[in-house]
Amino acid sequence: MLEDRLLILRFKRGSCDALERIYEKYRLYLLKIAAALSYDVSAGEDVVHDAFVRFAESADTLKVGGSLKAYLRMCVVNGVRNKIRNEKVRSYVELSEAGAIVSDKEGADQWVVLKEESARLHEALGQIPFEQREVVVLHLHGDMKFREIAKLQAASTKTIQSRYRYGLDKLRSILNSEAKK
Amino acid sequence: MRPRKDIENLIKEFDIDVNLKKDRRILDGLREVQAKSSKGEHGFCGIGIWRIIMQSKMTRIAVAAIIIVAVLIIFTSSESTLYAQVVKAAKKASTIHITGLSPRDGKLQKSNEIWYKRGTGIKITWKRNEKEHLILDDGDYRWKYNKGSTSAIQHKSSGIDDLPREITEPGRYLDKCTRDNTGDMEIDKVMCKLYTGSYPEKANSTKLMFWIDENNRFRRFEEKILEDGVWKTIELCHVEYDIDFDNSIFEPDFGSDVEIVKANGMLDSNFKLENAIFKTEEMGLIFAVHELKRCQNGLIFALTSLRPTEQTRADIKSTDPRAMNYGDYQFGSCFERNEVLGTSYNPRELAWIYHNGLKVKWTIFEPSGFGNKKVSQCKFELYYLYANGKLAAKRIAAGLPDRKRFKPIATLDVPDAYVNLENQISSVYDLVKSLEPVVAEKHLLLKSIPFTDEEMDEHCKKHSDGGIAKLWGKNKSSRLYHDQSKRPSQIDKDAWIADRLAEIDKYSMK
Repeated sequence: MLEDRLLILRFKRGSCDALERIYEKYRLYLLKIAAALSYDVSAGEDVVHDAFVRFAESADTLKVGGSLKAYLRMCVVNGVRNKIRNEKVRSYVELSEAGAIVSDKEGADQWVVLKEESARLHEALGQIPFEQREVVVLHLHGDMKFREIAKLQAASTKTIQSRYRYGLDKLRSILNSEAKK
Repeated sequence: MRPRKDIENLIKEFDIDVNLKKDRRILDGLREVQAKSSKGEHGFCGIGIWRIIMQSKMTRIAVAAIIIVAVLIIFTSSESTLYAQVVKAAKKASTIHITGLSPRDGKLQKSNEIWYKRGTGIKITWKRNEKEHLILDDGDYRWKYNKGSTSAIQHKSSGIDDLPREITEPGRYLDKCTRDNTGDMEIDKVMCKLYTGSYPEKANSTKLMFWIDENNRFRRFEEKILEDGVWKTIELCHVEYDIDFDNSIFEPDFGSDVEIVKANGMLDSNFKLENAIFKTEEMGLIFAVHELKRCQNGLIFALTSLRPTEQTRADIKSTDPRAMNYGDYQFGSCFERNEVLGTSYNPRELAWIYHNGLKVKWTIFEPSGFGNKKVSQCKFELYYLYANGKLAAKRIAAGLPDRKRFKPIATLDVPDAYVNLENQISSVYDLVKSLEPVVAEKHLLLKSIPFTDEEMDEHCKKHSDGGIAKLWGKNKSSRLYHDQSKRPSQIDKDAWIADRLAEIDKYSMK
């Protein structure tokens, strides 16, 4: 997009207005993706914050070959994956025994405020496997095509489409309180 | 059963709002990061623009229009904006004094005050939740003090050459404002022009008003919100320039009963490398195990840290102690397979802090697969040691990996003597709390405590249609936790200790 190309040019030349414009243009989009992908909304906030901090520091070395939106989205998706990968080394218990659901109550220092219906959706998204959640969120919120997600997950497009279907089916049953055996 | 389309539409409706105050703080932080890392070159670079234009098919076609737009941007981007002129005017002042008012008990009362004297110092006072806070900076050191506290924390100054953001921040939205001559007024016998605007996401319910004098000096700021059809002032700032105030106001005199504590000194003395029982240097970082203790039921307590080497600090300067420019780690124990079962220790973090490149973690390891056997040694691994921020960028640019796994990292003797688990957890709370004044808010974490039954019932009553209410109705163990980033002073000590003991007891696997 032409505006983005010019914003990058101005940003690389040290323009703080360009940084502010990029931040205002994309932060909601990135926060939504990070919040939907993460088990924990505050972890999603951290990922987006880190992505913007690294971006703000990167004027001298930044090279954005494609779209700025896709570049920032990739930074956030990789950040969430890293966080989740780090969490996976801990032992997990079944959801029915787990007590650790992070509060959706708005804290004084919270960046993201989930709307009421979205809190319920967020909890349901947290109950489907990460690969399925990633496909669903990136397709419906990240505006990514299945073949782009396939490249990201190093899988075939058919696999991604299956994950999408299974993810939606699982969400449907969770939201309708139908147990699958 | 909902059709798939309905589910897709429902997911598309997943939406968020942002906390505007936090949003502004984050943007301010990004500006500081950019300012510190940018070489700040300005000026036309014809080759760069041409390369970008010629790269894309679309821009080749539109090359004449792009050059015109680029030239317009260049000539309008630097010093000619109103905000840039206001900042330039402020920089010329020898002193600046700002008084801020906000509503309390139905009337506007002083809530913050700033004194700035070029080349001499900065003093900022503000009230939050009925407590008074103070920051002093004399160019060598910066002190933070909360009124009533017995200690003031001393950090190295990050400099007083630039105007503090508390002075420049309010004017940030100035360039999005429009001239409104109906509100022009005389302030301190000087005629001032009014500019009005609003926050982008709250255009219909917020009003920002800036009064600028004929010398482009920012004199007054007012912020209003629309509540029940009425505009209410939530912030009012008054600015004075070049007035006399004594240099003594920048001296750190907090009272004879207030101890001045050096921030770096506290961390250095608590996490000395010289006293570590194990340390190793990898990827420009030093990982250390400071304490290993045996607790009842086979539990092991570990205190570990990661920090950059002196060379890494010299190569990569980081002036903001909150910026994560060095590394992080995930510490655990090795899984050992034997003839019957595997054995391992499951890590359960109690707390962590981060300050100025130093990351410290307190962890309890729960035994799995050992039965009643008392182990004399434990084999640990670093699931991940990774560089982040500038160190990561440097390593990647040099073709080096930015993360590694070390399995094992060390096999350490576990002391024979037992320490009481509850006392150990209590000492963690006390130590982390003592560091609270030194470490930034987001970088000091005690693992959170769960909602009580009463808090859960209250929450579910308010959100009875939510999934959480349904889960709570089926299973009382599926409860919410309080915000994880609460500082120790916001968490009841006894409740936190009891929760940690219950959690360890519940999930421990022999």
